[in-house]
Amino acid sequence: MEPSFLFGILWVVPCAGAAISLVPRRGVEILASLIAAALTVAISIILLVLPISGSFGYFYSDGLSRIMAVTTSCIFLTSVAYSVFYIKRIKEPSVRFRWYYCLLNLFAFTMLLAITVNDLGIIWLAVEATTVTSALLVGMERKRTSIESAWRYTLIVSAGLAISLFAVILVYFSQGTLVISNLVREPLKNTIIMSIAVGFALIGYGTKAGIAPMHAWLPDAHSEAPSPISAMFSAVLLPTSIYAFVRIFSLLQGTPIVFEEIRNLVIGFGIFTALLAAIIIGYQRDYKRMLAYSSMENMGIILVGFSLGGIGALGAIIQIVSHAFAKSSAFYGSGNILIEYGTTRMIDAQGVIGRLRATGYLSILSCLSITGAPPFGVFLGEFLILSHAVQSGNLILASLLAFAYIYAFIGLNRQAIRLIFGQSTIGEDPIGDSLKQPNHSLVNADKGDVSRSKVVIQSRQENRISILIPLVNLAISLVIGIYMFPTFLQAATGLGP
Amino acid sequence: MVIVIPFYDELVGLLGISVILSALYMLGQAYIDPTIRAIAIQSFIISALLGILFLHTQDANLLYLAVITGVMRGIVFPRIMLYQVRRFKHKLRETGVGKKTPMLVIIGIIIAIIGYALFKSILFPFLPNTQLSVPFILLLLGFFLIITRRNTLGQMTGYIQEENGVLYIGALIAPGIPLLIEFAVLLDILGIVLVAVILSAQRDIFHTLEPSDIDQLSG
Amino acid sequence: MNDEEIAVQVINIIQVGTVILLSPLISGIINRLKAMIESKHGASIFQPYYDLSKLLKKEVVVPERSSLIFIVAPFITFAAYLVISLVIPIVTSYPLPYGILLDLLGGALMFGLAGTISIIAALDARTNYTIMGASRSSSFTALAEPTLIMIFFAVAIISGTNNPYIANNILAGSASWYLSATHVLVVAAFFMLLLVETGRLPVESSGLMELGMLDDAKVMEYSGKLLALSKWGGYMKNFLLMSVFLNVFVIPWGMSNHTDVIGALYSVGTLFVKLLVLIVVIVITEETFAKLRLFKILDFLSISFSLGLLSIISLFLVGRGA
Repeated sequence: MEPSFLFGILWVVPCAGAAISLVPRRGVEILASLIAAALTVAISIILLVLPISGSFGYFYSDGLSRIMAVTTSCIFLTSVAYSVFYIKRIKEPSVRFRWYYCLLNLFAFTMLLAITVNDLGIIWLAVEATTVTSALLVGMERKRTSIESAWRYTLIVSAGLAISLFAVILVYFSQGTLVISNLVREPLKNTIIMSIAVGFALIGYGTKAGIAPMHAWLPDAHSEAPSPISAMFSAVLLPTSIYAFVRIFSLLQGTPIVFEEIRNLVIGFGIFTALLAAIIIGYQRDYKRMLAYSSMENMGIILVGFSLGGIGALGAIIQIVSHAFAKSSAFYGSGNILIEYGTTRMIDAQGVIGRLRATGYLSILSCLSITGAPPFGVFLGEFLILSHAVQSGNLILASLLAFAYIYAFIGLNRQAIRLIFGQSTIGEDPIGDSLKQPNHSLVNADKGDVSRSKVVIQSRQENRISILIPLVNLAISLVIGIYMFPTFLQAATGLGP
Repeated sequence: MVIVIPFYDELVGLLGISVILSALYMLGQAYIDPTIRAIAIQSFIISALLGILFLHTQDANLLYLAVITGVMRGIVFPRIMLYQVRRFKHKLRETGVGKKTPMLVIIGIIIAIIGYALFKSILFPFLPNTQLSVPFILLLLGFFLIITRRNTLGQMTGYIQEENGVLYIGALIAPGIPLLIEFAVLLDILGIVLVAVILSAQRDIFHTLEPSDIDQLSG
Repeated sequence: MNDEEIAVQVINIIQVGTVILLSPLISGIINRLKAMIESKHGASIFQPYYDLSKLLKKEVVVPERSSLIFIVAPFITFAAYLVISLVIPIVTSYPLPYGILLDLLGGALMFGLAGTISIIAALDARTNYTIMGASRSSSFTALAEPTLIMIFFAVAIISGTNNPYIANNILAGSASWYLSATHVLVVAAFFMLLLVETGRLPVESSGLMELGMLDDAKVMEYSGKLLALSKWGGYMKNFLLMSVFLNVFVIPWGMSNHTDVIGALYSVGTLFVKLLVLIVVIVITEETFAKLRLFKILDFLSISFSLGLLSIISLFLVGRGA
């Protein structure tokens, strides 16, 4: 099979899934989305293992593209699967479920488009399109805060993307083409304009990726969106914007002097983001926001990794993949907690382990993994970036990175431990409990806690899904950490200075 | 057939200044209705500028851009937004600005000056086109407009103003971008979809943030 | 003295005479036109002359507590306006012999002198309406000063000097300057300033409504010959401001270049036509807008200031560049 045919299918399948989801028959949308997602996973894995590189007409695929495509489609699949469980439990959805699945498919399509297409302009269009498709997904619940955060997300990100449009125009002005395969072959014609373009692209795409100080939309959007959407955001959307930035950034490589300055600028933004997020994590009272800030920290680290290049870039890629799986697992677990407790405030939801034992263990493991505990993949990514910083002699950067890692690790896990293993503030009062959380209709996962009357609606099967999915993702993150070297080394040789 | 436009420089200069004037006018508006009409007029002026550029350079892309800008952003978009204003009646009529409007205009002018200085020092040596300062300033003023508004439609007009600026920059320095037209169209579609949908959601739930009506009565 | 010098002196006299004699006519035309638009018959266009001659025959009554300033002030303002009429391009496009007395800045200071003296006299009269008029007049004139300065800067940008004659020549000769954004914006700013200084709606309502008066309130205590001089001074001020506006900025053509008397008389005619055009515009503006509330006049002034500031900025933004 020709690669471009496969890429074409990669694009067409989610669109088809989106279209089919609109068919007004019950259950069609779930089935269609699951099949579409599974197909994309299959195709992207095939593309990954094929020994191809370079461009094929409309598609550009070096190792980075294909790895991210695999990641995207896997997270897409698991999010769809988790959505099956989660969406039914949203209290007041603002759109019908059919539209949710349709938009989810389109969302995945736009991200796959951005990752694999051969034209900087279309990358921009695709990133802009992700905003359109995801805005409604963020505002899924009919709450004032949800709609408000959806609007803020849209506005801030669109304003930022306008700046990166300017950057794309500058690139065209300097090079005369936007086709990536041509751009990487030709030398730079005007380095100053290109560096200005990179600067603007940093601000523009950085807004979408959650780079400080343009990150204002990120915590709100993540905490208000339903958990599968938050997972997609953290795991896939943010890295996609970084990908878009890196495509423009990597064009600047051949020119030593200017490149150094721009690189320092990018590193500065990245480490600032990571430090800021690491510090803010300690002050969070809301677990979804905490996870959002952790995503922001990881994006900063990834940005630093890419700008360092070499082993650092490899570490960034590993970070992207393992962070995607680990963070999505964490968000799915948080979704379980949210359904059980009805609130995202950590104080009110303490003692998760008492009620949701499996979710509790999963959550603590995923929190450990996203902050970089070995042997999960995120540790490996962070370690590689740090080692490159040390090897290249940039000790200030290395120490700042180490500080960010450690501070985030301590901050997040301290809160997570308190959340999961802490003393439950709800206690043994059945009447008080039912008064406090009148919306409960689920049974909790396991034995124990006999003091509450339970309304059993769904059987245990649902709960198995809600545990299985995060478990799978977490396991993948672990696997990446352990079995990293052969596959990723081979696939990633297509990129980087 | 080359059309020579008399007073090309002055005409472009006058139109450019009227674009900035419309941006400052919008900064100084407390009501949403005149703001939307002003953005329509601004889009028309930009489309006229693009048309003049087309006559000057004979680049067909510019003609398409001019028509698209004029139709979409001058007519369709403001119509939709005004329709939304009618639906919500009193809820969207005022932006959260109150009595500070003259100060905002002065700040806008200061931003214009700073923006021009920035443009001159950073970009000008490499983009030798004096007309570029106008859309660059328009971009900055668009940001400022978004920041000062607390009302959804008001922020939307700021966004459209930004897009006008970027589009004009694109038309000036790189009219050959094959995707420029698609960019323009997509941006408009994006905006329309979001405005219509999110506003419907907002309508059902709450008042958008706005100053209380009491503010208007004093002074 | 040779022929040319005699001719120039005669032209001088013609210029001053035009200002003195024609200014009441302009006011009369404005009032008549306003009345016609309002579907009234209106007083004759020569009514101001009749008023002035009537007032000159009446006796003067002064407030009990006023001092010499009250009596002297109308003379000083009249004299100030006479001086200004020597230095502004009214009938010629070249400076007359006394034109070296003042340039544009000096002319503005002279206007300021006249205004200040009349304010002091109004304070001296020690009655409620005059004091109210004095305070309003001084505050709004002070707030209009920045716009005035911007206009000077714009003139300086265009002509490189502060000389109205040079600005006139440049604007008349060069189409690119005439159409430039700097010029257009400064015309807009000056027009708004004109509305403030000459006391037109939407800034001030002429007529006897005291609460809307800015400048007219200052002269409420005068009577007889002093009132005639004050009114005449007011007419002359309006005439001079409008002539500056027209001759330097808006329609700089049509003035005589040569030093002959016939040419000067001819340009008096063209000046009259230009003034008619401006009168029509002013009257339409007056009839279209309602009077602004006093605190909103601040917005009005800030807009005119912004336009003036923009006219200078636009030199860099879209014009010749720095």
